Amino acid sequence: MSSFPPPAGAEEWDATGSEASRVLEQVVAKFRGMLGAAAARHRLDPTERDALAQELRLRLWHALKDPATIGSVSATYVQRATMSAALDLLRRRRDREQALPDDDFSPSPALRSSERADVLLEASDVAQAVERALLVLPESRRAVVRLHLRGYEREEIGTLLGWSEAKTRNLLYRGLEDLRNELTRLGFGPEAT
Amino acid sequence: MNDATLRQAYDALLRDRAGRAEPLGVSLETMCDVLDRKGSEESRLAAIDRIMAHPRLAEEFEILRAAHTAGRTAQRRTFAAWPLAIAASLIAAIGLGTWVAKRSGDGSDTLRGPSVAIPLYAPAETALADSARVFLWSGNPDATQYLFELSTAGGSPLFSAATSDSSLVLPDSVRLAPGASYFWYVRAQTPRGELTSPLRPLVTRER
Repeated sequence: MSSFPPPAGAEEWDATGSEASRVLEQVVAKFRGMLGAAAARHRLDPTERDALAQELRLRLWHALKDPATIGSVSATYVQRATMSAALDLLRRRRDREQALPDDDFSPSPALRSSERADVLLEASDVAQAVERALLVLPESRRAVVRLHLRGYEREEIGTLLGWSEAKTRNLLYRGLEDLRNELTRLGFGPEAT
Repeated sequence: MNDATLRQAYDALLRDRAGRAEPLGVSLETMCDVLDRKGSEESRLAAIDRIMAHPRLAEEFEILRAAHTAGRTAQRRTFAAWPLAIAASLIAAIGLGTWVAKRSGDGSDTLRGPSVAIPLYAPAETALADSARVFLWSGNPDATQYLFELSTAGGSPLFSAATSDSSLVLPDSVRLAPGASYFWYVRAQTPRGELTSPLRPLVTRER
């Protein structure tokens, strides 16, 4: 692979606007990292993940591109711009999906399953029982249990709700216990593992 | 029923739900309120319950949560970064350059943020429309391929290409208008992952 040596004056060129670039790339890198972690858990489509990161990069670039004003752009603004970019993208996606006729609706590529139909059918009874059992739980415990079943760690649940580790653990364990008791009552006891 | 079985069952339930054209029922603004912990705990738990019961909502929530966390990280770091940059310049000016190097040269997670993975060399940020045709960046020894992208100021992709060299000449089919703004950046693919250059503006001028 060939590489040109840096041309004369290269450092000076690169220094211009580099503070803005650093802030921007810092946010985008963190965003991509978080989406990467979420991708494994929630099967986010890599193409969409890249599009999201690029959208965020463009938005922030527009906000931070002028090195002369970088100092006046507050950190709060960076956070707002980050959220705003993600919101705009999701709004556009919702609009696109609403515009589709019902017959054209299909799950996103991220949600398509490659599992065999017979496996899905077999799991269906248990899945329906889990949903019925969840609906019996008090709302506070049900939300925590759903987060847990979606793969959220206890620490993440606590951070999201502003709860202490002890409170999170307590409510989650009680919720899971309630869920298992209800499943047993529905005929899906401990042996159904 | 153990945790793994419960999760598999719940996963199957959501997969089934993903195929149905049900109304989503939770606004994006409500999701933001959950992330900002606005409103009563009761209302936030109710929202989370609905979000986690629908795969599309859960996916949207995950995306917003990533943006929320990334933005907050920047908030913590940028306040620290800009004064530090000024302080570093002053310290260097009075001969304490060694101290500065020690503080700012240790990789991607310092207060200054990630270092520039691929320095961009040319063209300059302001260049003649006719001459801003050769793009040049620093080669990385681990790079197997570079992905170049040039976009308009509005964000529309104008030209993109993959190359194994650390330079690229715009094809004749791509015309840069005088007095217009563009930006470009390069991604390097390496066996250990992808490195990204900063975004670099390009403002074209007439003679």
